[in-house]
Amino acid sequence: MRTTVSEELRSLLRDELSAERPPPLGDLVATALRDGRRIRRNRRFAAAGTTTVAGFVVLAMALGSPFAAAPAPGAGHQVAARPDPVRSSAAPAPTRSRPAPVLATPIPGGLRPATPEAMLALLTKLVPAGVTTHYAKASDGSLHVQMYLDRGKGPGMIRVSLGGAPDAESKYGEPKVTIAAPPGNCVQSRIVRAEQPGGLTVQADLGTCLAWDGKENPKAALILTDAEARAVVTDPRWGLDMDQSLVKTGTTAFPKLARFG
Amino acid sequence: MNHDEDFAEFAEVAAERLRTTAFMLCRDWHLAQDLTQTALTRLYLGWRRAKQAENLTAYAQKVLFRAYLDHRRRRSSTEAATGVIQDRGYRQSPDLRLTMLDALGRLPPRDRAIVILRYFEDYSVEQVADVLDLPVGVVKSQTKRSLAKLREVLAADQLALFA
Repeated sequence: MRTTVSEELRSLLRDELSAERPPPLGDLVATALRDGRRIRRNRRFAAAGTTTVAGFVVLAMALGSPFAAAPAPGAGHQVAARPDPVRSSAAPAPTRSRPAPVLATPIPGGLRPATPEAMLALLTKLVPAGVTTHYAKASDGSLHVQMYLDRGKGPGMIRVSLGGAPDAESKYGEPKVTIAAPPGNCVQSRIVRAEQPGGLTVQADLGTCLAWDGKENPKAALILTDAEARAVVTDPRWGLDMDQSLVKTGTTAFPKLARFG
Repeated sequence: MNHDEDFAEFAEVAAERLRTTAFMLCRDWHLAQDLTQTALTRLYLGWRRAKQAENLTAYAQKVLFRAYLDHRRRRSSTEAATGVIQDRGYRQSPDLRLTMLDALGRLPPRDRAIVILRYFEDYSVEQVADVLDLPVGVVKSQTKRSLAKLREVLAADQLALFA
């Protein structure tokens, strides 16, 4: 059956496609090369800058500077001193999250491609204090994660996704934040999205229901305020490349995540 | 041949096909162009790893499908929470004859991607599962469901496909 379906379907699609009038390809390849070179160059530049700042702070600490723990001017972002304890969905015991202590400078080690596990490691640090459970990642393998947070009045669901094709050249600047409340979808009762100048998009979906349990989406309350959600999506540690320590923490803390979608 | 020349040679050959696939996914040539651009840029950035892939074309398709699903996710404010397909099919308007592209457009993005990979690109179930990072069982069940959905919305003379 498959051969027939495949051949017939392909034939129909080809007929329809041949009737299309696509615009010229233009300089698609040249543009990809140009953008790719620029992003690569800026990644190297950013990595070199991070190493320099980290080296400076290590030196300052070694010298016993009283300013060693103060924020370093120009530091790209802040990273928790040590990961909060988190558990994967394979280990159902809930976790009490709390605001993590932060260092003034990035932990040296550079960036690695982001993973859902690293996203959860960061997300658990960014939300207000509470019990976090039901960690999951999207079944399509994209950078899209889910977590429940219970601040004492029952759990609420947060999903965060990363997208876009960031251009590191214009990475530094104020992200543009939009907040929407579209009707009719309890999983996305509130959508808080930060678009960085370089093109990275960080989106938090706050639900007034929990994930599909096979029968329904159980009702729940919004678990973050707009201001809290804004703080989550504008954190500078989000990226298609994330700090190595977050990637490592995520791998350790969430060895076997459930999937959704 | 250096890194950039190597990439450019592949991209020149692959771009048209990638854009056609992107168009089938989104039915908008401008968006297809953007998605192809994004996919090629990502491919360039990971070119060293891409070169190690057993099938470079399949790898490029994988990058494109990820770009498409990312795009859909960012625009997913109208996504149904339960995943129920909104069905206003051909049978409710028998005078309206859907094209195959129209019919594909009625599938959820991931199911559309599965059908295109499976039946247009002629990938095996295992290859589709690899490209979309899905379990083989999910690809099989979603394929079956998608074909049933297409059967529902296509005109009678197109149903020979599924006989």
